[in-house]
Amino acid sequence: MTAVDDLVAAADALRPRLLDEQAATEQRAMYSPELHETFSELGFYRLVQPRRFGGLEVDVTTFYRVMMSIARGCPSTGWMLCLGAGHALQIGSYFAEGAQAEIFGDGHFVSPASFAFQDALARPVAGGYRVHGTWHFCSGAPYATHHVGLAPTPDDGPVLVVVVPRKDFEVLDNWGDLIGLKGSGSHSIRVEDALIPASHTIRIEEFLGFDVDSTPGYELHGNPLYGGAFVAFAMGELNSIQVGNAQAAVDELERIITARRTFVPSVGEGPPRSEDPNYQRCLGLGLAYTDAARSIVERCGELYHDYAREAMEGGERFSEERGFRIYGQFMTAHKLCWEAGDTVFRASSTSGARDGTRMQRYWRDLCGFRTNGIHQLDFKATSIAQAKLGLPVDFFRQA
Amino acid sequence: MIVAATSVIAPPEPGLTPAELLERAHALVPMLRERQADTEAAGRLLDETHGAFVEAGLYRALQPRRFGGYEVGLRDFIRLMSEISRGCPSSGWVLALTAGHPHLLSHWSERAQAEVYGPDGDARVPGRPVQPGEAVPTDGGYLVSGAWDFASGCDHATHFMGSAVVRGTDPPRLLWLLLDRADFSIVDNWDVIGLRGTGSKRIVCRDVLVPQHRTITAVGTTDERPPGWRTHENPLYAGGLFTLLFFELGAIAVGVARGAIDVYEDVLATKPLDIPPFLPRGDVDEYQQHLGHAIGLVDLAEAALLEGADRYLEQATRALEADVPPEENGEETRRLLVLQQGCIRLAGEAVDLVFRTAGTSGARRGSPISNAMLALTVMRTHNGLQWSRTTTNLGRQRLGREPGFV
Repeated sequence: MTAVDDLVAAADALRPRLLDEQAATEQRAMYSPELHETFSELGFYRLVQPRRFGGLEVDVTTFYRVMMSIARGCPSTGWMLCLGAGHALQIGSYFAEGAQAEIFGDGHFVSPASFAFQDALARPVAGGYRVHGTWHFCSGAPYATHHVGLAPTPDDGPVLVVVVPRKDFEVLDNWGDLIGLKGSGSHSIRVEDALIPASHTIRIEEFLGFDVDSTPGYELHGNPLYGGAFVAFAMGELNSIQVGNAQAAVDELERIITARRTFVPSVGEGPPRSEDPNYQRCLGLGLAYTDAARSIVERCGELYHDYAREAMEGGERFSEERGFRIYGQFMTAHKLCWEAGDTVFRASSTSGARDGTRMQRYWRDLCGFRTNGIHQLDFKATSIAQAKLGLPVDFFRQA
Repeated sequence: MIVAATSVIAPPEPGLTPAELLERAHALVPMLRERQADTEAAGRLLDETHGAFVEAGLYRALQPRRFGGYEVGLRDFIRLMSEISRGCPSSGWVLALTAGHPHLLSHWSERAQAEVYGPDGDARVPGRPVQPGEAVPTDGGYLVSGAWDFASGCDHATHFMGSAVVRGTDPPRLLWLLLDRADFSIVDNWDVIGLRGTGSKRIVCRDVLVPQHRTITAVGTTDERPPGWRTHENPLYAGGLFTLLFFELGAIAVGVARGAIDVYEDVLATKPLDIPPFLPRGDVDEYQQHLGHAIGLVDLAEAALLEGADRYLEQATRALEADVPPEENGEETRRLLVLQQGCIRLAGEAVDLVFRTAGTSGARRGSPISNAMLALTVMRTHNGLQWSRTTTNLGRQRLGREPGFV
């Protein structure tokens, strides 16, 4: 296992390999079993898992830094790793000790989470629920040990988050037809009929983690890491990938303009593009946008701890407003990432749009997240304002 | 083939008006949208679509009257190309870039034009003014070899306009030259992420004898008048060469954006949100705003483009009066390019808004919204559409500094 200080350096050191494997990762719709082994050895699945259950319990910003670094080598791989590794934070925050011990088991825990259910139901029975359904966009599914799914209960009962072990679900072979993030292992998961103990389920309200002065995880681990409002963490996961993805595109523009020359009519090739102020400007903008987006992501990781600590120590609670104010910053970071990617893509000339090029892949990957309905600042801005004004928050206002 | 230089070819439907052409283009929109997926999958303009364009007379919109064309006004040309692009970005692209080229061709001598238009005016001439090959002077002309990428419209071309540097010239002399269809082959290297259906492939020729009159010195690299100057006496053909080419792109961008908005309206009207209580999207304030915003952006883009068309014609009229072709690298020409780029930016912004908020299913490969977004994106990688560079050059020019290329 890697020492905490070396985690980001270890992720950086993987970059050449990640770059090499991009095309194969897309082809396979997931990163390779060998890379999965490497991530396991480096402890990348255990970053936000509680120490008591074999985790590294690093701070949120370190987690984001590792994911930004991996995504900079391969956005699909970063996405799949991040979403497989990040849900340890939910389990560690909101589930009771016994359930945590059972779920983390021997310490190897990888789990997607999906709200996009289809024909799903959790039917109460003695000792728990019988669960069935299909969940889409389960990023991290291929190497998962568990699945975290949202499920309704009969008769408009509470909406639950259920934790399903690997033996009870099937991963469908249906990922890869979106324009981007083709290698992100975001397959659907089908559960035929699983008996899930009641302690392995929580209500969605508990899962969101707003406005509480204590969580089971904070009581158990004594670390505010496990006392926050998860949604704020989750948006940072997605944005860590966006930052890494945009940085990868900026890296690629730098490579292209260093290697290629400008065109001068009636002469043909002119000086290298890197000496042309227009290309310099595009690179500079890309760097500025991604640097700023990175700063936002890193700072919001710190805010998650600060807000959780205050709430757990009897101070101001981690309110919807605080959550949405973090969320708003992440969506702003996303706009910067998109702007960076779009700028450098356009500056890479039409040959950068050809199949098989890295630049095209990076741009497709950015597009893959761009249509995500819950990550649209113009829609969520209304929710942010509602929280600020003390009005009922339209939590699911989205595209 | 020898054709008398004074020959007059009647267009297939001499009484056809621009309004009727526009009605025909409008009527093609549903069919074009229907065929989008097939067009992208085929990686070229479908033969059926090509046939429909021929039948409707669309390739001849800007073709000189005397060579069998309809010689419509520039505003009408822009509207026509927009309308077709509204139905299918790739098909609109091929049509606009082909149908706009009579203007390019009008720079050649009357003799060369007459040869290309042949007995019936059925000519489609894609071109690539950059990426020069080599021309070796020989008796009566040049032996030309070269490879030119991004030849939109090559699948249904009758000719191709290539570029080549004359061997042994210093500074290099850049030629533009006309090749017959029999003289070049097509290599399918078209693998760009958007506008797949344009089939903008590579043209290759080796040691082809190109007669002297089939060549001209590249416009913009010389003060010589092009041999075809004033062959048609219509200001339409007397304005900046590159200016006209970018009206084609502007028209496509506006049409593609309109097409995306058509589909967006349909999504807002028919597709509820994915999350309880499954509100109709059309009831959501943000969607209402986005739709209005997108319409406003495209209206602005179109209005600016049409205003630009008037400015082009004014410039061309003055050029005819002075009997001097407009300066390709002049400030007025560059300002028109900035205006055209601005239109494409606005259209791009509208399409981006639609793509981002129409739901993830709109992002699936082959969906019309995805096609529109990819088309605008690929268009904006075009070397001539780099706003940052062109505006810099405009600023330089205004400050009395030497502007760079484009």
